Amino acid sequence: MNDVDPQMLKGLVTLLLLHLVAEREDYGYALVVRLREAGFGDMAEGTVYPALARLEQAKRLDTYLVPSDKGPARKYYRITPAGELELERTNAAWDHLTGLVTGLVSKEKP
Amino acid sequence: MTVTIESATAVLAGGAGIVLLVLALGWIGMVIRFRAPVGSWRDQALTAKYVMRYDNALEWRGVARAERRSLTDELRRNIADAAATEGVSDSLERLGHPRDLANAVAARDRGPTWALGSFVALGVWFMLQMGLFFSADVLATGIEQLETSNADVSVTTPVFLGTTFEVTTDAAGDLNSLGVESSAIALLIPALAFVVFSTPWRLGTRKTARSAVEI
Repeated sequence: MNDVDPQMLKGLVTLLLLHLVAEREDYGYALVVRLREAGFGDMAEGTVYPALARLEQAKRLDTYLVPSDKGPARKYYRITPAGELELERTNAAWDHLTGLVTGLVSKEKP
Repeated sequence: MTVTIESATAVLAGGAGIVLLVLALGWIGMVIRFRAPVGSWRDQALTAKYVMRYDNALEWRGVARAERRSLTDELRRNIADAAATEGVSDSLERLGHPRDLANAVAARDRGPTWALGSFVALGVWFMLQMGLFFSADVLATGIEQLETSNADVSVTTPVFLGTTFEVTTDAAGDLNSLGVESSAIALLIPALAFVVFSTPWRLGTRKTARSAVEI
């Protein structure tokens, strides 16, 4: 598998998290595991948890607690209407960007 | 109340002992509060150490107590879940330094913090005490050099908000006792000024910071 530049991933973490939470409500570590299963093994918890906190502060994600047998409750994230709009916007921006990059790098050299 | 050098030393020693006891009990309470919900004693201690440093960094970033509690509880839960598959050491390593994590979580400026304000207030209080100490020392040295036997000199100065310095000498004219008596106003005025000016400043800067949430 090709390595993915962590700096490139940092710019994409919002899009990836909004997409995963829109797909299924989940808690912090479970989202890290889902990212790893999708091939983003270099996406560390130290990047994911702050991104989730910022999305919650910006009201793109909402949270609720599910009690645990032992220790603190799990904090689940679900997408808000503002988050869905943000996901649409970032999806469109991503499509536009990949189109531009693909067009540029696939050009045949003279 | 007049405090002589001998009684002040005893009070300081006793006070330092009480402060150390309170700090030790507070530290034990923090370890119990922040330990991992599952795992060995070593895992719980490692988690407690990490989460304590994270909580402390969040406090310095101006994150309110309720939000800090929510963030630290979530982190403890996530560490426990990660530790079940990859071990506590690896999961903590993947989190990075607790200060960096706190800075990333509380990325926006939240305005001045009570922790910082208290630190500054403590510094000002220390400087005032040093001022009192050196003023008392200058006065005592001056009286001693007069070599007056059985002198009892009392000086009240508005510079330190009505604090009274009292110096006595023995029959040979040497320093017998040095006392400093502070009025309640000397403590109340700085405390009142701190509360009156810090609260609106803190609320005002927080309101500005709140309107600048970025993702």
